[in-house]
Amino acid sequence: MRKITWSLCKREWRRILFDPRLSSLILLVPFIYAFLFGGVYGAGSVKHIPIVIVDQDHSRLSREITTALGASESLSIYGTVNAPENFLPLVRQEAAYACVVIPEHFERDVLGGRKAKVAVIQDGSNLLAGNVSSRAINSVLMTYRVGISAEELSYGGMTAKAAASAALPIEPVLRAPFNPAFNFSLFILMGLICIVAQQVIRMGSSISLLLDEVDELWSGLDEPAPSVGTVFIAKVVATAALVLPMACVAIVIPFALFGNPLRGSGALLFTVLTIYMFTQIFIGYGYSSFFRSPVGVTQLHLFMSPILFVLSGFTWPAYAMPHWLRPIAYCTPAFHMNSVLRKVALDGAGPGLLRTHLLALLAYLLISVPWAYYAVWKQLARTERAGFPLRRARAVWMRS
Amino acid sequence: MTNTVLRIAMREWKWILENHRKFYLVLVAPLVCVAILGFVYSPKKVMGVPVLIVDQDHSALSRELSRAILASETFSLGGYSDSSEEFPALVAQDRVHLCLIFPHNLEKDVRARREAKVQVILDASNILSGNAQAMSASNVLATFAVGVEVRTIEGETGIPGALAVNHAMPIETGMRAWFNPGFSSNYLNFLMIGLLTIYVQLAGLVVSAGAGVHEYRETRGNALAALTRNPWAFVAGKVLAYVAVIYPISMIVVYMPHLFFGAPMRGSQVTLALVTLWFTAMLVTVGYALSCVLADELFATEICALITLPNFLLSGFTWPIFAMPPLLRGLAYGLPMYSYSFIYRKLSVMGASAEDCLRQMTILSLWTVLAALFARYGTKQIVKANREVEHAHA
Repeated sequence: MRKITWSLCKREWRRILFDPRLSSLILLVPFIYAFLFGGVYGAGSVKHIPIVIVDQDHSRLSREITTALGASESLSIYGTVNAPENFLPLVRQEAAYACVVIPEHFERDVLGGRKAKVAVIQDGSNLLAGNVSSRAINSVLMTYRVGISAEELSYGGMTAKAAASAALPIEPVLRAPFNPAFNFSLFILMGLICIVAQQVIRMGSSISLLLDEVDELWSGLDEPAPSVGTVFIAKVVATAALVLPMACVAIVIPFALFGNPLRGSGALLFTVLTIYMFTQIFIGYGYSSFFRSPVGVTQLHLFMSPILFVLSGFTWPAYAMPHWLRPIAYCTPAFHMNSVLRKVALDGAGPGLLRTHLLALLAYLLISVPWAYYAVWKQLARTERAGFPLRRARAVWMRS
Repeated sequence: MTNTVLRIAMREWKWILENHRKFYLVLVAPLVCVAILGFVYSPKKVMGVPVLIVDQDHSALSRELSRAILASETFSLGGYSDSSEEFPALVAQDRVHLCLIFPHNLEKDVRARREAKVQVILDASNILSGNAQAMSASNVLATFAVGVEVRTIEGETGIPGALAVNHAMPIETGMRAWFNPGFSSNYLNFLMIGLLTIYVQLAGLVVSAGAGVHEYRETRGNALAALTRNPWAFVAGKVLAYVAVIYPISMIVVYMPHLFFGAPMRGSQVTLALVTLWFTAMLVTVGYALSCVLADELFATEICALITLPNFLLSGFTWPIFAMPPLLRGLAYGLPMYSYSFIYRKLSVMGASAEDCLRQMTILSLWTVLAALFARYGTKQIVKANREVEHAHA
């Protein structure tokens, strides 16, 4: 039994490693994507967003505000225009993403104790860039507002310290302990790599099973006919031995090369990743039971990939989805894996806090095993003409 | 030439009808997936973020602040606690995602004009909801801060109410977000467009990924060389056949967010329809060319997958191209999805004209020329293979 399993394992490795498409799909693609995504999000946050200034005041204060905006790391001054209308073509040409309008008599109004308005027009079509530029502009203007307010109060006879407190009576102190700099790389990189690894493993396993021919299975094996169970175990072990190291290295890339923190236990992460990758192999086999050709199953995986990423709650949180969609999101294995990944890496959570997600992942593992077993049995049954003792396979299946 | 093209297209439709089963998934999947995406983003903004309130002051002001925070639709009550120590554990259990700490003597400090701080701890491990939380919490607290400041100025300096407001807010920021009124949160207008472009691209490429392969198997009478000697006519016939199948699906996908989920459509619909037709034809040409050259439908489908999946992230749709490393910028500009997704965004959300999309249209034109040349090369490969078979038979 052990000898047959080992022979089948070797055969499976030969099949995957000598098929350049399968081997590159399973073993190379996750790395390529990990480096590509790391390269895109490596900077962490959007910096130097081009903005335009409409300075209708031409005063010392307006020039000071313009300089302060230009000094912000998140912003860069693309140029000045005469009127806000001139901003629209610049947005449409992707030349500028925000416009700060400092109106006429701005300084005079501020000095005269009258309300002075600064208009900020944003390109709201890209929320990521919009959020960053809006926060940076607000923070610069807030500094000036508090400064001016305190200065005026001190003219009214208040001490400088009391004036400063009165100008900002309730100071909101924002802290984001799990992602202090709102780093986009910390937020998305691990989830993306995990989804890519999931998809290529599913796709690779499905294609690998559907391309397998039983007649070929017998060549080179001097042993008696293996049972479906032996074939199943050999295939899973062989595939896992190839994909697990790949998945582990791909997941380590954000921590090792792109500065993502790992605050929790690496051993816990590895254990969960192992369970998850085995589940993906089983699910990959399972899907192939619906198809006769590897093209069909590849297409299914392709179309499911973006939807699974969205439903995993990694970007759009599950609690913000419509009620009827939430159970579907919770039933997605990627939802639990991504939650564990993010919480272990960023929050430093331990197994006690992740009990629900860990139980869900174990449940998927248990459910997916019979499904994958059925797929392997079905694939073997398809090739009855090759002389595989189906009666025996069926008996094994019934017994199990 | 026109007759030949039509004859080739009819021949391809016959083949599609004979093999209709394999097209079901490709034709139905984009519609189902885009509908689900539409539902995911239909709330448009992140709402109901559970908040942990740590009220160490137990004053009227802290209670008022709590009520104001919970009155915002962004937040819902996750619980009360005496300290923020349990916040990380509660976040890990998905029970709260924001913590507000009203420290001891908050009200007393505000009244005595001493510095008073309200701590806001965010779970920014998800930046999308983190941004919404930060903005909503800051807005509520800023409103209170201004109110308190006005009262202080009135009391201290004797300045009347209206003037005190001016002193409290010497510079007022009027924030306007063009193209996305629910700014900071409306993800339907922002993400949906990019995501559905993936499906338009996948459908175009995947459907045509088998278009060239079966030509290698055609018998002598029906072989490509027997139909025409003009490779362009063959490419045109093939593209026409697949565009006729894919284009209606692409148009439904493109209009779905507008028709069912309230996404805007501000620009010219004719231009959008024409650009979608152009994009679909270009994709079908690429799919057909890959299919001819690789002579293997599975391999062609896998290549289509590898082209499409990173496209969304590299196309600059979420992470702006100017913020990418210079090496990746060229790649991002060169991807076909960049052109279409930006044209779509500009036409639907920004109400732009075709002139504003000149850069994207130039890139799309380059892709079209390359795809056509590639398809011609692929067709020649098939003709060559067919001739070899003929010689072998002879």
